[in-house]
Amino acid sequence: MSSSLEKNMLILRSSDGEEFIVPEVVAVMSKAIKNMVEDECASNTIPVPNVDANILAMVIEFCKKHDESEAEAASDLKTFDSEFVNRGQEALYDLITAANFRDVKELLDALCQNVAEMIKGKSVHHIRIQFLGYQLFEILTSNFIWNIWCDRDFD
Amino acid sequence: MVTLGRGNKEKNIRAKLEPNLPNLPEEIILNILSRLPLKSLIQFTCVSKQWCSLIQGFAKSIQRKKVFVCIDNSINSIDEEGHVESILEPKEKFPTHFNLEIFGSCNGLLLILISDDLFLWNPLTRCSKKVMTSVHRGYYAVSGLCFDSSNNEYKVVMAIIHDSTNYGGKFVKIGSFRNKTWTSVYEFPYHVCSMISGPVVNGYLHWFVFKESSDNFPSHQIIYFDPRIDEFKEVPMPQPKHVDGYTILGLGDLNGCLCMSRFNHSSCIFVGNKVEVLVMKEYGMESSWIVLFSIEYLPGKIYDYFVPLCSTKNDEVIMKIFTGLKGYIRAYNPNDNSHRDILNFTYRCSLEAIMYEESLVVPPDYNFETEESEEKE
Repeated sequence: MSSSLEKNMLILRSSDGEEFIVPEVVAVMSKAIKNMVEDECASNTIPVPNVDANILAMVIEFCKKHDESEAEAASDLKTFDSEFVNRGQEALYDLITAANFRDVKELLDALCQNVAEMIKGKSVHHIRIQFLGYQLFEILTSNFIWNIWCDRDFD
Repeated sequence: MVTLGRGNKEKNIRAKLEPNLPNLPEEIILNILSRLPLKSLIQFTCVSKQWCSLIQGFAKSIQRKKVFVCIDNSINSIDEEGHVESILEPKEKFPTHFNLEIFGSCNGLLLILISDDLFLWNPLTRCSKKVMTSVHRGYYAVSGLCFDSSNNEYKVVMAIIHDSTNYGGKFVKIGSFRNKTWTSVYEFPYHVCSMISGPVVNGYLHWFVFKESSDNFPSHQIIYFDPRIDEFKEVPMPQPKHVDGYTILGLGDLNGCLCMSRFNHSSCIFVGNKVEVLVMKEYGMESSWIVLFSIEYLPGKIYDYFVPLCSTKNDEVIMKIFTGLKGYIRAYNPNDNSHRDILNFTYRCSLEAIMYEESLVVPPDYNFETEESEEKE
Protein backbone atom coordinates (compact mmCIF):
# COMPACT_ATOMS: atom_id res chain seq x y z
CA MET A 1 0.00 0.00 0.00
CA SER A 2 2.73 2.37 0.94
CA SER A 3 4.55 1.75 -2.34
CA SER A 4 1.62 3.08 -4.35
CA LEU A 5 1.36 6.11 -2.10
CA GLU A 6 1.87 9.49 -3.70
CA LYS A 7 4.79 11.46 -2.46
CA ASN A 8 2.93 14.11 -0.52
CA MET A 9 0.55 11.74 1.17
CA LEU A 10 0.81 10.30 4.68
CA ILE A 11 -0.89 7.40 6.38
CA LEU A 12 -2.31 7.98 9.85
CA ARG A 13 -3.12 4.95 11.93
CA SER A 14 -5.69 5.33 14.69
CA SER A 15 -5.46 3.61 18.07
CA ASP A 16 -7.81 0.86 16.88
CA GLY A 17 -5.73 0.16 13.80
CA GLU A 18 -7.67 1.87 11.04
CA GLU A 19 -5.57 3.70 8.45
CA PHE A 20 -6.32 7.02 6.79
CA ILE A 21 -4.52 8.37 3.75
CA VAL A 22 -4.18 12.09 4.15
CA PRO A 23 -2.36 14.80 2.16
CA GLU A 24 0.71 15.95 4.06
CA VAL A 25 -0.49 19.58 4.13
CA VAL A 26 -3.58 18.44 6.02
CA ALA A 27 -1.75 16.14 8.41
CA VAL A 28 0.76 18.79 9.41
CA MET A 29 -2.00 21.03 10.72
CA SER A 30 -1.34 18.94 13.78
CA LYS A 31 1.83 20.42 15.24
CA ALA A 32 2.69 17.09 16.81
CA ILE A 33 2.63 15.37 13.42
CA LYS A 34 4.40 18.31 11.80
CA ASN A 35 7.27 17.93 14.23
CA MET A 36 7.50 14.22 13.50
CA VAL A 37 7.58 14.85 9.75
CA GLU A 38 10.17 17.60 10.07
CA ASP A 39 12.40 15.49 12.26
CA GLU A 40 12.06 12.76 9.65
CA CYS A 41 11.37 10.27 12.38
CA ALA A 42 8.14 9.34 10.68
CA SER A 43 7.90 6.45 8.31
CA ASN A 44 5.05 6.48 5.81
CA THR A 45 2.65 5.35 8.48
CA ILE A 46 2.22 7.58 11.48
CA PRO A 47 0.59 6.03 14.52
CA VAL A 48 -1.87 8.26 16.33
CA PRO A 49 -2.27 6.64 19.74
CA ASN A 50 -5.11 7.61 22.08
CA VAL A 51 -7.31 8.64 19.15
CA ASP A 52 -9.77 6.12 17.72
CA ALA A 53 -10.91 5.90 14.11
CA ASN A 54 -14.18 7.71 14.71
CA ILE A 55 -12.52 10.75 16.26
CA LEU A 56 -9.57 10.71 13.89
CA ALA A 57 -11.96 10.84 10.95
CA MET A 58 -13.61 13.88 12.44
CA VAL A 59 -10.30 15.61 13.05
CA ILE A 60 -9.20 14.90 9.50
CA GLU A 61 -12.47 16.20 8.11
CA PHE A 62 -12.01 19.41 10.06
CA CYS A 63 -8.42 19.86 8.91
CA LYS A 64 -9.29 19.13 5.29
CA LYS A 65 -11.99 21.74 5.31
CA HIS A 66 -9.65 24.29 6.82
CA ASP A 67 -6.93 23.46 4.33
CA GLU A 68 -9.23 23.74 1.31
CA SER A 69 -10.97 26.87 2.40
CA GLU A 70 -7.96 28.96 3.25
CA ALA A 71 -8.94 31.31 0.48
CA GLU A 72 -12.64 31.18 1.35
CA ALA A 73 -14.42 33.81 3.32
CA ALA A 74 -13.68 33.66 7.03
CA SER A 75 -17.37 33.79 7.89
CA ASP A 76 -18.05 30.58 5.93
CA LEU A 77 -15.33 28.85 7.85
CA LYS A 78 -16.79 30.10 11.10
CA THR A 79 -20.18 28.62 10.25
CA PHE A 80 -18.51 25.35 9.39
CA ASP A 81 -16.61 25.40 12.68
CA SER A 82 -19.68 25.96 14.80
CA GLU A 83 -21.64 23.29 12.95
CA PHE A 84 -18.76 20.89 13.15
CA VAL A 85 -18.27 21.19 16.88
CA ASN A 86 -22.00 21.05 17.48
CA ARG A 87 -22.32 17.82 15.58
CA GLY A 88 -19.47 16.50 17.61
CA GLN A 89 -21.32 17.10 20.88
CA GLU A 90 -21.26 13.41 21.78
CA ALA A 91 -17.56 13.15 21.15
CA LEU A 92 -16.73 16.55 22.61
CA TYR A 93 -14.34 15.30 25.27
CA ASP A 94 -12.51 12.94 22.94
CA LEU A 95 -12.21 15.65 20.33
CA ILE A 96 -10.77 18.12 22.82
CA THR A 97 -8.26 15.59 24.09
CA ALA A 98 -7.29 14.63 20.55
CA ALA A 99 -6.94 18.25 19.44
CA ASN A 100 -4.86 18.97 22.51
CA PHE A 101 -2.53 15.97 22.23
CA ARG A 102 -2.06 16.33 18.50
CA ASP A 103 -1.84 20.10 18.87
CA VAL A 104 -4.39 21.20 16.26
CA LYS A 105 -4.84 24.82 17.22
CA GLU A 106 -7.78 25.73 14.98
CA LEU A 107 -9.81 22.76 16.13
CA LEU A 108 -8.98 23.31 19.77
CA ASP A 109 -10.05 26.96 19.54
CA ALA A 110 -13.33 26.04 17.86
CA LEU A 111 -14.04 23.41 20.50
CA CYS A 112 -13.23 25.70 23.40
CA GLN A 113 -15.47 28.37 21.89
CA ASN A 114 -18.22 25.77 21.75
CA VAL A 115 -17.77 24.79 25.39
CA ALA A 116 -17.73 28.46 26.38
CA GLU A 117 -21.06 29.01 24.58
CA MET A 118 -22.40 25.90 26.27
CA ILE A 119 -21.54 26.90 29.83
CA LYS A 120 -22.28 30.60 29.53
CA GLY A 121 -25.11 31.39 31.92
CA LYS A 122 -25.14 27.92 33.48
CA SER A 123 -25.21 27.54 37.24
CA VAL A 124 -22.15 26.73 39.31
CA HIS A 125 -23.79 23.46 40.27
CA HIS A 126 -24.10 22.53 36.62
CA ILE A 127 -20.45 23.34 35.92
CA ARG A 128 -19.30 21.25 38.86
CA ILE A 129 -21.16 18.25 37.54
CA GLN A 130 -19.97 18.76 33.99
CA PHE A 131 -16.29 19.31 34.79
CA LEU A 132 -15.62 17.78 38.16
CA GLY A 133 -18.01 14.91 38.29
CA TYR A 134 -19.56 13.27 41.24
CA GLN A 135 -16.81 13.51 43.84
CA LEU A 136 -18.02 16.99 44.45
CA PHE A 137 -21.53 15.93 43.78
CA GLU A 138 -21.29 13.52 46.65
CA ILE A 139 -20.62 16.40 49.00
CA LEU A 140 -23.63 18.15 47.61
CA THR A 141 -25.82 15.11 48.09
CA SER A 142 -24.80 14.82 51.67
CA ASN A 143 -25.66 18.46 52.21
CA PHE A 144 -28.74 19.06 50.15
CA ILE A 145 -30.43 16.11 48.61
CA TRP A 146 -29.80 13.78 51.49
CA ASN A 147 -31.39 16.30 53.84
CA ILE A 148 -34.35 16.83 51.60
CA TRP A 149 -34.76 13.13 51.23
CA CYS A 150 -34.53 12.63 54.99
CA ASP A 151 -37.12 15.28 55.58
CA ARG A 152 -39.44 13.55 53.23
CA ASP A 153 -38.90 10.23 54.97
CA PHE A 154 -39.86 11.53 58.36
CA ASP A 155 -42.95 13.36 57.20
CA MET B 1 -33.68 0.11 55.04
CA VAL B 2 -32.77 3.72 55.02
CA THR B 3 -29.15 3.11 54.05
CA LEU B 4 -30.18 0.86 51.24
CA GLY B 5 -32.62 3.43 49.99
CA ARG B 6 -30.03 6.14 50.09
CA GLY B 7 -27.51 4.06 48.21
CA ASN B 8 -29.92 3.36 45.39
CA LYS B 9 -30.96 6.91 45.15
CA GLU B 10 -27.38 8.15 44.90
CA LYS B 11 -26.53 5.60 42.28
CA ASN B 12 -29.36 6.79 40.09
CA ILE B 13 -28.36 10.38 40.36
CA ARG B 14 -24.71 9.57 39.77
CA ALA B 15 -25.42 7.64 36.64
CA LYS B 16 -27.26 10.58 35.16
CA LEU B 17 -24.69 13.15 36.19
CA GLU B 18 -21.43 11.57 35.07
CA PRO B 19 -19.17 14.49 34.04
CA ASN B 20 -18.78 14.76 30.30
CA LEU B 21 -15.64 16.90 30.50
CA PRO B 22 -13.58 15.42 33.36
CA ASN B 23 -9.94 16.20 34.09
CA LEU B 24 -9.33 18.72 31.37
CA PRO B 25 -5.80 20.11 31.46
CA GLU B 26 -5.48 23.61 32.90
CA GLU B 27 -4.53 25.21 29.59
CA ILE B 28 -7.79 23.98 28.06
CA ILE B 29 -9.87 25.28 30.96
CA LEU B 30 -8.06 28.62 30.58
CA ASN B 31 -8.74 28.62 26.85
CA ILE B 32 -12.44 28.12 27.59
CA LEU B 33 -12.52 30.69 30.39
CA SER B 34 -10.88 33.33 28.22
CA ARG B 35 -13.96 33.18 25.98
CA LEU B 36 -16.47 33.82 28.74
CA PRO B 37 -17.99 37.16 29.72
CA LEU B 38 -16.91 38.71 33.01
CA LYS B 39 -20.23 37.91 34.64
CA SER B 40 -19.81 34.17 34.10
CA LEU B 41 -16.21 34.35 35.29
CA ILE B 42 -17.22 35.97 38.55
CA GLN B 43 -19.86 33.30 39.05
CA PHE B 44 -17.52 30.43 38.23
CA THR B 45 -14.90 31.45 40.78
CA CYS B 46 -16.85 29.29 43.21
CA VAL B 47 -16.80 26.12 41.10
CA SER B 48 -13.63 24.88 42.77
CA LYS B 49 -10.33 26.09 44.19
CA GLN B 50 -8.59 25.31 40.92
CA TRP B 51 -11.11 27.28 38.88
CA CYS B 52 -10.94 30.14 41.32
CA SER B 53 -7.17 30.52 41.02
CA LEU B 54 -7.28 30.03 37.24
CA ILE B 55 -9.92 32.72 36.85
CA GLN B 56 -8.15 35.11 39.16
CA GLY B 57 -4.90 34.62 37.28
CA PHE B 58 -6.66 35.24 34.01
CA ALA B 59 -8.48 38.28 35.34
CA LYS B 60 -5.19 39.86 36.38
CA SER B 61 -4.20 40.10 32.75
CA ILE B 62 -7.29 42.09 31.82
CA GLN B 63 -7.37 44.34 34.87
CA ARG B 64 -8.94 47.78 34.60
CA LYS B 65 -8.43 50.66 36.99
CA LYS B 66 -11.30 52.59 38.45
CA VAL B 67 -11.88 55.29 40.98
CA PHE B 68 -14.18 54.57 43.87
CA VAL B 69 -16.04 57.68 44.99
CA CYS B 70 -18.29 57.80 47.98
CA ILE B 71 -20.21 60.77 49.26
CA ASP B 72 -23.08 60.64 51.73
CA ASN B 73 -25.17 57.72 50.62
CA SER B 74 -24.14 57.40 47.04
CA ILE B 75 -21.28 55.25 45.84
CA ASN B 76 -19.95 55.59 42.33
CA SER B 77 -17.10 54.42 40.19
CA ILE B 78 -15.27 56.38 37.51
CA ASP B 79 -13.75 54.34 34.72
CA GLU B 80 -10.75 55.02 32.51
CA GLU B 81 -12.90 57.04 30.14
CA GLY B 82 -14.20 59.29 32.89
CA HIS B 83 -17.71 57.82 32.96
CA VAL B 84 -19.46 57.78 36.30
CA GLU B 85 -21.47 54.73 37.24
CA SER B 86 -23.11 53.75 40.48
CA ILE B 87 -21.70 50.80 42.42
CA LEU B 88 -24.06 48.21 43.81
CA GLU B 89 -23.98 47.36 47.47
CA PRO B 90 -22.32 44.07 48.40
CA LYS B 91 -24.50 40.98 48.29
CA GLU B 92 -24.17 40.65 52.03
CA LYS B 93 -25.38 44.11 52.97
CA PHE B 94 -23.41 46.33 55.31
CA PRO B 95 -24.91 46.65 58.80
CA THR B 96 -25.53 50.38 58.70
CA HIS B 97 -26.49 52.24 55.64
CA PHE B 98 -23.27 53.65 54.41
CA ASN B 99 -21.43 55.82 56.76
CA LEU B 100 -18.27 54.32 55.52
CA GLU B 101 -14.65 55.37 55.54
CA ILE B 102 -12.09 54.03 53.11
CA PHE B 103 -9.08 52.58 54.91
CA GLY B 104 -7.20 51.12 52.00
CA SER B 105 -7.24 49.55 48.54
CA CYS B 106 -5.16 46.65 47.28
CA ASN B 107 -5.59 44.11 44.45
CA GLY B 108 -9.19 45.10 43.84
CA LEU B 109 -10.21 44.83 47.47
CA LEU B 110 -11.28 47.87 49.45
CA LEU B 111 -10.81 48.07 53.18
CA ILE B 112 -13.82 49.85 54.62
CA LEU B 113 -14.56 51.01 58.14
CA ILE B 114 -18.16 50.99 59.31
CA SER B 115 -18.69 51.86 62.97
CA ASP B 116 -15.75 49.99 64.49
CA ASP B 117 -15.64 47.12 62.07
CA LEU B 118 -13.31 46.62 59.15
CA PHE B 119 -14.70 45.04 56.01
CA LEU B 120 -13.00 43.82 52.86
CA TRP B 121 -15.09 44.47 49.81
CA ASN B 122 -14.61 43.71 46.16
CA PRO B 123 -16.89 46.19 44.35
CA LEU B 124 -16.76 44.21 41.10
CA THR B 125 -17.81 40.83 42.43
CA ARG B 126 -19.88 42.38 45.24
CA CYS B 127 -18.32 40.01 47.77
CA SER B 128 -17.71 41.48 51.19
CA LYS B 129 -16.52 40.08 54.48
CA LYS B 130 -16.13 41.51 57.96
CA VAL B 131 -12.49 40.92 58.78
CA MET B 132 -11.63 42.53 62.10
CA THR B 133 -12.62 45.08 64.67
CA SER B 134 -10.59 48.23 64.55
CA VAL B 135 -8.50 49.41 67.48
CA HIS B 136 -8.23 53.12 66.86
CA ARG B 137 -11.31 54.44 68.66
CA GLY B 138 -10.45 57.75 70.26
CA TYR B 139 -7.30 58.18 68.17
CA TYR B 140 -6.36 59.73 64.88
CA ALA B 141 -5.32 57.07 62.46
CA VAL B 142 -3.86 56.73 59.00
CA SER B 143 -4.21 53.33 57.50
CA GLY B 144 -3.63 51.13 54.52
CA LEU B 145 -4.25 47.69 53.10
CA CYS B 146 -1.43 45.61 51.66
CA PHE B 147 -0.70 42.08 50.56
CA ASP B 148 2.09 40.08 52.14
CA SER B 149 3.22 37.86 49.30
CA SER B 150 5.56 35.76 51.44
CA ASN B 151 2.76 34.69 53.78
CA ASN B 152 0.03 35.01 51.17
CA GLU B 153 -2.20 37.15 53.36
CA TYR B 154 -3.68 40.63 53.53
CA LYS B 155 -2.69 43.01 56.30
CA VAL B 156 -3.99 46.27 57.59
CA VAL B 157 -1.46 48.84 58.78
CA MET B 158 -2.47 51.73 61.02
CA ALA B 159 -0.45 54.56 62.45
CA ILE B 160 -2.34 55.63 65.53
CA ILE B 161 -1.81 58.99 67.13
CA HIS B 162 -2.96 60.50 70.35
CA ASP B 163 -2.09 64.02 71.42
CA SER B 164 -1.28 62.84 74.89
CA THR B 165 1.60 60.46 75.41
CA ASN B 166 -0.34 58.95 78.31
CA TYR B 167 -2.34 57.12 75.71
CA GLY B 168 0.66 55.83 73.87
CA GLY B 169 1.45 58.85 71.70
CA LYS B 170 2.34 57.51 68.27
CA PHE B 171 2.39 53.85 67.50
CA VAL B 172 1.74 51.48 64.64
CA LYS B 173 -0.61 48.52 64.69
CA ILE B 174 -0.46 45.77 62.12
CA GLY B 175 -3.52 43.59 61.80
CA SER B 176 -3.32 40.13 60.30
CA PHE B 177 -6.60 38.96 58.79
CA ARG B 178 -5.57 35.36 59.03
CA ASN B 179 -4.90 35.26 62.77
CA LYS B 180 -7.30 38.11 63.54
CA THR B 181 -4.67 39.65 65.77
CA TRP B 182 -3.09 43.09 66.09
CA THR B 183 0.62 43.52 66.73
CA SER B 184 2.12 46.80 67.87
CA VAL B 185 5.22 48.45 66.51
CA TYR B 186 6.24 51.24 68.83
CA GLU B 187 9.02 52.86 66.91
CA PHE B 188 7.44 55.20 64.45
CA PRO B 189 9.74 58.23 64.28
CA TYR B 190 7.49 60.33 62.06
CA HIS B 191 4.62 62.76 62.39
CA VAL B 192 1.56 61.86 60.42
CA CYS B 193 0.20 64.71 58.34
CA SER B 194 -2.62 63.16 56.38
CA MET B 195 -5.43 60.83 57.30
CA ILE B 196 -5.87 59.52 53.76
CA SER B 197 -4.69 56.06 52.94
CA GLY B 198 -1.85 55.96 50.44
CA PRO B 199 -1.41 53.86 47.31
CA VAL B 200 0.12 50.40 47.02
CA VAL B 201 2.87 50.53 44.40
CA ASN B 202 5.42 47.80 43.76
CA GLY B 203 3.82 45.75 46.55
CA TYR B 204 4.55 48.46 49.15
CA LEU B 205 2.11 50.71 50.93
CA HIS B 206 2.95 54.44 50.81
CA TRP B 207 2.23 57.31 53.16
CA PHE B 208 3.60 60.81 53.41
CA VAL B 209 4.76 62.09 56.78
CA PHE B 210 6.72 64.85 58.48
CA LYS B 211 10.26 64.04 59.35
CA GLU B 212 12.27 65.94 61.91
CA SER B 213 15.37 67.23 60.18
CA SER B 214 18.63 68.43 61.65
CA ASP B 215 17.75 72.12 61.38
CA ASN B 216 14.50 71.46 63.22
CA PHE B 217 12.50 72.40 60.18
CA PRO B 218 10.21 69.47 59.50
CA SER B 219 10.28 68.25 55.93
CA HIS B 220 7.86 66.07 54.10
CA GLN B 221 8.92 62.53 53.39
CA ILE B 222 7.29 59.59 51.60
CA ILE B 223 7.66 56.33 53.47
CA TYR B 224 6.75 52.83 52.45
CA PHE B 225 5.71 49.80 54.41
CA ASP B 226 7.12 46.44 53.39
CA PRO B 227 4.47 43.87 54.41
CA ARG B 228 6.91 40.97 54.17
CA ILE B 229 9.13 42.26 56.95
CA ASP B 230 6.66 44.62 58.67
CA GLU B 231 8.97 47.61 58.42
CA PHE B 232 8.82 51.20 57.25
CA LYS B 233 11.47 52.62 54.95
CA GLU B 234 11.95 55.93 53.17
CA VAL B 235 11.42 56.60 49.48
CA PRO B 236 14.13 58.77 47.88
CA MET B 237 12.67 62.24 47.36
CA PRO B 238 13.15 64.65 44.48
CA GLN B 239 15.10 67.87 45.03
CA PRO B 240 12.99 70.80 46.21
CA LYS B 241 12.61 73.73 43.81
CA HIS B 242 13.25 76.33 46.48
CA VAL B 243 15.31 76.19 49.62
CA ASP B 244 12.16 76.43 51.70
CA GLY B 245 11.13 72.96 50.63
CA TYR B 246 7.71 71.75 49.69
CA THR B 247 4.48 70.40 51.07
CA ILE B 248 3.09 67.15 49.75
CA LEU B 249 -0.62 67.35 48.93
CA GLY B 250 -1.27 63.77 47.95
CA LEU B 251 0.14 60.47 46.70
CA GLY B 252 -1.13 58.23 43.96
CA ASP B 253 -0.46 55.46 41.50
CA LEU B 254 -0.35 56.45 37.82
CA ASN B 255 0.09 53.46 35.52
CA GLY B 256 2.01 51.56 38.16
CA CYS B 257 4.33 54.47 39.04
CA LEU B 258 4.31 56.24 42.38
CA CYS B 259 3.33 59.88 41.99
CA MET B 260 2.80 62.84 44.26
CA SER B 261 1.57 66.38 44.09
CA ARG B 262 3.54 69.03 45.89
CA PHE B 263 3.40 72.71 46.60
CA ASN B 264 6.75 74.48 46.50
CA HIS B 265 7.34 76.96 49.29
CA SER B 266 8.82 80.25 48.33
CA SER B 267 9.29 83.29 50.47
CA CYS B 268 9.14 85.48 47.37
CA ILE B 269 5.50 86.22 46.64
CA PHE B 270 6.28 87.44 43.13
CA VAL B 271 7.40 84.05 42.00
CA GLY B 272 4.36 82.38 40.46
CA ASN B 273 3.72 79.49 42.76
CA LYS B 274 2.69 76.21 41.32
CA VAL B 275 1.33 72.90 42.38
CA GLU B 276 3.25 70.18 40.61
CA VAL B 277 2.42 66.55 39.96
CA LEU B 278 5.54 64.40 39.85
CA VAL B 279 5.97 60.79 38.82
CA MET B 280 8.76 58.45 39.87
CA LYS B 281 9.35 56.65 36.57
CA GLU B 282 11.63 54.00 38.03
CA TYR B 283 10.72 52.85 41.48
CA GLY B 284 13.33 53.76 44.09
CA MET B 285 15.41 55.98 41.77
CA GLU B 286 15.73 59.54 43.01
CA SER B 287 16.75 60.81 39.59
CA SER B 288 13.68 59.34 37.91
CA TRP B 289 11.21 61.80 39.47
CA ILE B 290 9.81 63.94 36.66
CA VAL B 291 7.21 66.70 36.65
CA LEU B 292 4.15 65.50 34.79
CA PHE B 293 2.28 68.80 34.85
CA SER B 294 1.80 71.83 37.04
CA ILE B 295 -1.00 74.26 37.72
CA GLU B 296 -0.99 77.87 38.87
CA TYR B 297 -1.46 78.27 42.57
CA LEU B 298 -3.85 81.17 42.82
CA PRO B 299 -3.73 83.31 45.94
CA GLY B 300 -6.71 82.74 48.17
CA LYS B 301 -7.26 79.30 46.74
CA ILE B 302 -5.65 76.88 49.08
CA TYR B 303 -5.55 73.25 48.18
CA ASP B 304 -5.74 71.03 51.23
CA TYR B 305 -5.57 67.90 49.17
CA PHE B 306 -4.57 67.42 45.59
CA VAL B 307 -4.51 63.66 45.24
CA PRO B 308 -3.70 61.88 41.96
CA LEU B 309 -6.10 58.96 41.64
CA CYS B 310 -5.87 57.38 38.23
CA SER B 311 -5.07 58.16 34.60
CA THR B 312 -7.69 57.98 31.88
CA LYS B 313 -7.47 56.47 28.40
CA ASN B 314 -6.54 59.82 26.84
CA ASP B 315 -3.75 60.50 29.37
CA GLU B 316 -5.73 62.78 31.64
CA VAL B 317 -5.04 62.50 35.35
CA ILE B 318 -8.06 62.21 37.63
CA MET B 319 -7.47 64.10 40.86
CA LYS B 320 -9.28 64.45 44.12
CA ILE B 321 -9.16 68.08 45.19
CA PHE B 322 -10.22 69.70 48.45
CA THR B 323 -10.25 73.45 48.50
CA GLY B 324 -12.13 75.51 51.04
CA LEU B 325 -15.36 73.68 51.75
CA LYS B 326 -15.58 72.28 48.27
CA GLY B 327 -14.46 68.96 46.89
CA TYR B 328 -13.85 68.02 43.26
CA ILE B 329 -13.05 65.00 41.22
CA ARG B 330 -11.31 66.67 38.30
CA ALA B 331 -9.49 65.39 35.22
CA TYR B 332 -6.35 67.29 34.19
CA ASN B 333 -4.89 67.04 30.75
CA PRO B 334 -1.09 67.44 31.02
CA ASN B 335 -0.73 68.00 27.27
CA ASP B 336 -2.65 71.26 27.04
CA ASN B 337 -3.04 72.07 30.76
CA SER B 338 -6.82 72.01 30.48
CA HIS B 339 -9.10 70.40 33.00
CA ARG B 340 -12.70 69.27 33.37
CA ASP B 341 -14.79 68.47 36.42
CA ILE B 342 -16.11 64.94 36.60
CA LEU B 343 -17.89 65.46 39.92
CA ASN B 344 -18.08 68.39 42.28
CA PHE B 345 -19.43 68.68 45.77
CA THR B 346 -20.42 71.72 47.76
CA TYR B 347 -19.50 70.07 51.01
CA ARG B 348 -16.42 68.02 50.86
CA CYS B 349 -16.48 66.62 54.38
CA SER B 350 -17.88 63.21 53.56
CA LEU B 351 -16.19 62.80 50.19
CA GLU B 352 -13.97 59.74 49.94
CA ALA B 353 -12.18 58.57 46.81
CA ILE B 354 -9.58 55.93 46.08
CA MET B 355 -8.27 54.08 43.06
CA TYR B 356 -8.90 50.35 42.79
CA GLU B 357 -8.08 47.72 40.21
CA GLU B 358 -11.03 45.62 39.14
CA SER B 359 -10.19 42.06 40.06
CA LEU B 360 -11.82 38.80 40.98
CA VAL B 361 -9.90 38.50 44.23
CA VAL B 362 -12.09 37.11 46.94
CA PRO B 363 -11.85 38.36 50.55
CA PRO B 364 -10.11 35.73 52.72
CA ASP B 365 -12.44 33.19 54.34
CA TYR B 366 -15.24 34.29 52.07
CA ASN B 367 -18.09 31.87 52.36
CA PHE B 368 -19.30 30.76 48.96
CA GLU B 369 -22.02 28.55 50.40
CA THR B 370 -24.08 31.50 51.62
CA GLU B 371 -23.74 33.05 48.22
CA GLU B 372 -24.94 29.91 46.51
CA SER B 373 -27.94 29.52 48.70
CA GLU B 374 -28.81 33.15 47.99
CA GLU B 375 -28.53 32.42 44.30
CA LYS B 376 -31.08 29.65 44.61
CA GLU B 377 -33.53 31.90 46.36
